[in-house]
Amino acid sequence: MSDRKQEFEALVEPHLDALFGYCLRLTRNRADAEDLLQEGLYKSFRGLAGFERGTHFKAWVFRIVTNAWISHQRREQRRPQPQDLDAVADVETAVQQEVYDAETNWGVVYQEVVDDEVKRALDELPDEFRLPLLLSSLGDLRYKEVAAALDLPLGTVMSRLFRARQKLRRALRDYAVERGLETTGVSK
Amino acid sequence: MNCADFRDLLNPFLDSELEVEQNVACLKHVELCPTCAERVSQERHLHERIVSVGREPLAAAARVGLLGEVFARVEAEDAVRGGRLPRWPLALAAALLLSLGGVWFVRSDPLCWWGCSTHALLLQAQSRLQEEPQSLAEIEQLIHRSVDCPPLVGSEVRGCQTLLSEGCPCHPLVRYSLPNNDEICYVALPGGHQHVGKERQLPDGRRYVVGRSPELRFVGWKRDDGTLAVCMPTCNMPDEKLFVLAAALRGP
Repeated sequence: MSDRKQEFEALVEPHLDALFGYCLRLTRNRADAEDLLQEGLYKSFRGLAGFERGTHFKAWVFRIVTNAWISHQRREQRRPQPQDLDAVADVETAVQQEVYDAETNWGVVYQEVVDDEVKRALDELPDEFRLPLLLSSLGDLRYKEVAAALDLPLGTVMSRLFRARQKLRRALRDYAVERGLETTGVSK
Repeated sequence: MNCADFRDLLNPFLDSELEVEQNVACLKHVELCPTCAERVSQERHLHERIVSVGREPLAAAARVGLLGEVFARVEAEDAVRGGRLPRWPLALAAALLLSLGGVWFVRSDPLCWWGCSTHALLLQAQSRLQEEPQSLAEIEQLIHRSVDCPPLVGSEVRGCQTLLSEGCPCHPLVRYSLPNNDEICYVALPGGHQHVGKERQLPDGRRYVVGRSPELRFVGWKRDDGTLAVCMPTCNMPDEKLFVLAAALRGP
């Protein structure tokens, strides 16, 4: 038991901040984030025998935390209803958005945006987009590892990551516009 | 590669998910195209912002407490598991009991409990011994076959009665008169359910079934055809004599 504890501590310690940040972005509050992290760590420690030494521990533990979150969501029945994610409902709107995107000075948006707005934009993303983006960005998981963690095809993961970043960019631009910043024009 | 091609590959390029050749092509394009280079720079900046806001330092106390609680929870669960009686001996005992119960149930011939014709026929025979018997010929005419009537030296057949049972029209109950006015009767009953009495083994090695209750008194034995041959006294007769007569009827 003692050896296992030491080994687990050594493995998980470098990733605790990233894991906690991930849990916080999933749950949106510290108390729930700590509960989720504890549950994830408990399951990881219980399943440590199943971890192949020499493989990517971070991806493994992120995957377990993600499963704990999905299970929690199912239990609470708070999981958002699945949306028709890959369908473009309104082609005209999509085209307009592309034009608007092209006219946006993203340099201004990214420079002026504050941390709270980035957090808010992340929190407002639906789980379907938020989970792949957080796993990829915070967990440093490869696409195939994200696909395994979420039990999704690789193509779906790529598509959702693309759309997650697109939604995030647009949300940040909207915050910048709300604050009266000039966001149109050529990027510097 | 033009700018449109590059935009299609922007995300996997940023995430280092491209194959080597595609990656090299993207790098060349970025080197030559300031607009796309700027876009890459901005997207990397956004990625860093996401990572930056996503990385929440966990307080040292919380860090220690968190792992401590995880380990304590696991230890507590393991302790409970260790203190609990293992389940396999209980399961084994239950299986053993069930098996023994099953064997006992089968050996005890449960069909007899749920309406045993042998027992009912014996009671019927006992009650009919009070009646006057008919002749063998009359019975044979009635049952359309000859009566099974084993010889008994020194006696004569006094008559016969029939025992009626469901599924078996009639069983002849043969009555023998002995010289000293004793009388016994003999009947072969189907099924041969020996539970109706207690089994005994005589010194010659042969097994008998002995019935002795307020309502029944008999000595029986299982015949080769599976039926139970029964010898009953009609009067008060010592057991030893009944055994001798039964053995005589049974033959060698």
